[in-house]
Amino acid sequence: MATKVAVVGIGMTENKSRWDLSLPGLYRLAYQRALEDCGLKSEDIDAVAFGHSPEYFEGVNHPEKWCGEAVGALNKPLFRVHTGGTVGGSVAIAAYYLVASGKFEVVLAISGNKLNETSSAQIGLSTVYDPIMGRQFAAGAPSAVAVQASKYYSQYGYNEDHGLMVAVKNRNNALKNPYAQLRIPDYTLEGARNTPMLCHPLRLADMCPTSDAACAMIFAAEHRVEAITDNPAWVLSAVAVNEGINYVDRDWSKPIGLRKAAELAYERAGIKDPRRELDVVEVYDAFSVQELIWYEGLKLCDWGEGGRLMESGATRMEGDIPVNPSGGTLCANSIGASAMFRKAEAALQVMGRAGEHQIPGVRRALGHGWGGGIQFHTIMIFGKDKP
Amino acid sequence: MKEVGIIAWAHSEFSPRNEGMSRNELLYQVTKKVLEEAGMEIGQIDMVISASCDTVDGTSISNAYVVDEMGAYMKEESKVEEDGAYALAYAYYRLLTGQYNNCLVVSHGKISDSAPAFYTNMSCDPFLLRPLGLTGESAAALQARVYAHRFGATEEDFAAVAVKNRRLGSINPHTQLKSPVTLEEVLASPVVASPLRELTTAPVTDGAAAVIMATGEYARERGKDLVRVEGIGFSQDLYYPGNKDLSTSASAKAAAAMAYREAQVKDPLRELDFAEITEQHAFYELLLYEALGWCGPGEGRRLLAEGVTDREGEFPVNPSGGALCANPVMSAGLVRVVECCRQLTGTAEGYQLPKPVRRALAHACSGLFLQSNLAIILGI
Repeated sequence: MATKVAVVGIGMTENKSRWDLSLPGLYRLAYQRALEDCGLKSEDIDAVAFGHSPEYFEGVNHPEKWCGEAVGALNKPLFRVHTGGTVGGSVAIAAYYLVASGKFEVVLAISGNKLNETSSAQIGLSTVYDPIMGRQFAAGAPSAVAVQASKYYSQYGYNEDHGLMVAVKNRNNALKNPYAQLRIPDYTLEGARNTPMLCHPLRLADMCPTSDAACAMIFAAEHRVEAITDNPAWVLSAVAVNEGINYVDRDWSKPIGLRKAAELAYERAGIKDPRRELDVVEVYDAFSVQELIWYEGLKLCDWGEGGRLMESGATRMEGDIPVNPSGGTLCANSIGASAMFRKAEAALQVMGRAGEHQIPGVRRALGHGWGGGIQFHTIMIFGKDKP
Repeated sequence: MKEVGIIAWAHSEFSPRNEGMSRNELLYQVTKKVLEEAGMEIGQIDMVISASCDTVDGTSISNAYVVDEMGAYMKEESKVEEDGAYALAYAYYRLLTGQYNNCLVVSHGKISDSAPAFYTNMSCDPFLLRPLGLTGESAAALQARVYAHRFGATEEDFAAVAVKNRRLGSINPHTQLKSPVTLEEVLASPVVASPLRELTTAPVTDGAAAVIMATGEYARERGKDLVRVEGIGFSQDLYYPGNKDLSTSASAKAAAAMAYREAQVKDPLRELDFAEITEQHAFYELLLYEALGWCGPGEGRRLLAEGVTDREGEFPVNPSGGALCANPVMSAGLVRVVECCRQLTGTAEGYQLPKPVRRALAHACSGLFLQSNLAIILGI
């Protein structure tokens, strides 16, 4: 049987454009904050799962070698995971499995990026496309998500407003999150509608910002948890599922990989009715409309009902299934840390330590991430009660 | 504790420039091959963990466009940006949880699409190391100088490693460089970065490798022999070369100690039967003999000269010819695992060790100045 594992410490940096810290410095800050959060020292950490997204962003290959010392990995086991946008989730999942294996007791997961080191993150993201078939028409991530958005809107009779409603909800939530980058007061649907059209049907309001950030989570084995904290977030399940990239029959508005990941995650966490049994959800909404699509993939509603779930207000902070009380990826996106922020926010909600954007009485929370050609999905579910 | 091991293995053909195949085709070929070896269909695979590198592929998120070729479509999946042997380690820990029956581990690198010096220079930080123009070769040359200076080792000592490994590689039908070389030839080969010469440096290799790992129960159910993973250790040490003792590798020592502890190996030279190590430079092999605990500091060349690590010796190292005969980027370490599996199962046709073998060490490394190392103890 797998060892039971809990999150015992979390460290985040603010999401912003920052020139006061190098890449190792940024990781160091998240690492130190995670240690301080749970009162552990460097020597208490047995191993490190290190995450960082495309090397292109900072122009440094194998950044884990450069940044290892900064995160206390001196003569310590460390390996790097890299799955694109999901990386923060993939790294948290790796750290979880290292502890669950019974071979490590306390493992650090850390992931980040300094997107402002590159002239354009979108040029880097265009190099995700296959050099033989794809790069000729690559225009970063928005071009792919625009296809996804158009398909979604037209298939179910929704329109641009449905994406913008997500933007308004999440931007207002972000006002309560000191780590978010976009904290814009009085953000209204009318204002969102008037932002420039960037890649039809996506407007500026539909898009995430470019952030520099790192996030760290410390996972501990059951027999070590009690001595570290009386307020852990237990890992109920940790799943990453991959779907393909280019298929003539691929429906970009119907994320079957996410659906499979969700089904596995719910099964392992003993969840039958996610809408009722989950108290809060953090999804990787790099683009507003994606949040609606992920509602469906996560079975918070049926296929095609995402827009209506948004309209119902259920996913607002005060709704019955709040989604992205932190403001989500739409208000802070460093890519490397974003999927871990989703997991860390979910864990903080379970611990009751999310601050101003805390949802009352959370017992179970889900954190999601997507990456690659909108094809990788990671899910972690945390619980207040030991599984 | 759960039993986890390897039930099938494969690698691609190795060549300096595989013009006939894209990385996608390389991966498809090796995945198909390993499934055939296991007598399995892709639908029976629970999980895929891959290893590749964006900078090698010239493609950000290097696994995004190859999920189909590695059979990961709609499966649980992850990717490490390290040698494939690190992916194997990750798969090992996941299998230990009992949540899965098996895992496909696959790695690829088509370095000919990129350039080795670009790949290694890009690994340098932009402030201190990169302006020096440091590459994998110049970094290794600096380290070789320190090693030689500290222990009085000579170019002849390094050349002797190349002579041994090229001789061993010459009977391995699977490797890339199949011709033996003489000491004179090695010492007369062009200088790459003094004291490293062309023939003491691993070749440029395109390639891919794959293994299927499984729990003991699953292997028994299917009637498959299991090459058991008895212990894994990995470690990373300091980044800046000026901060550490380059005459050894602290992380190789830590990795070996961790693997020996798990596998309960106290005297590796006696308790292990042979090893396959990633000696991308001839002097690495001597340095690693010491760091992996097979002799004292500076005694590597004695171990070699006494024939201990030769094919007929008591502790053969790199009976396959090692990385000096084929060095597929991102797969060199996983290929060491494959070579150990062949020897342990008596299927190293043409180069099977003369003595019976039951337990081995496979080594992988990553980064400049041997910054990260991994050791796996395998047994039958």
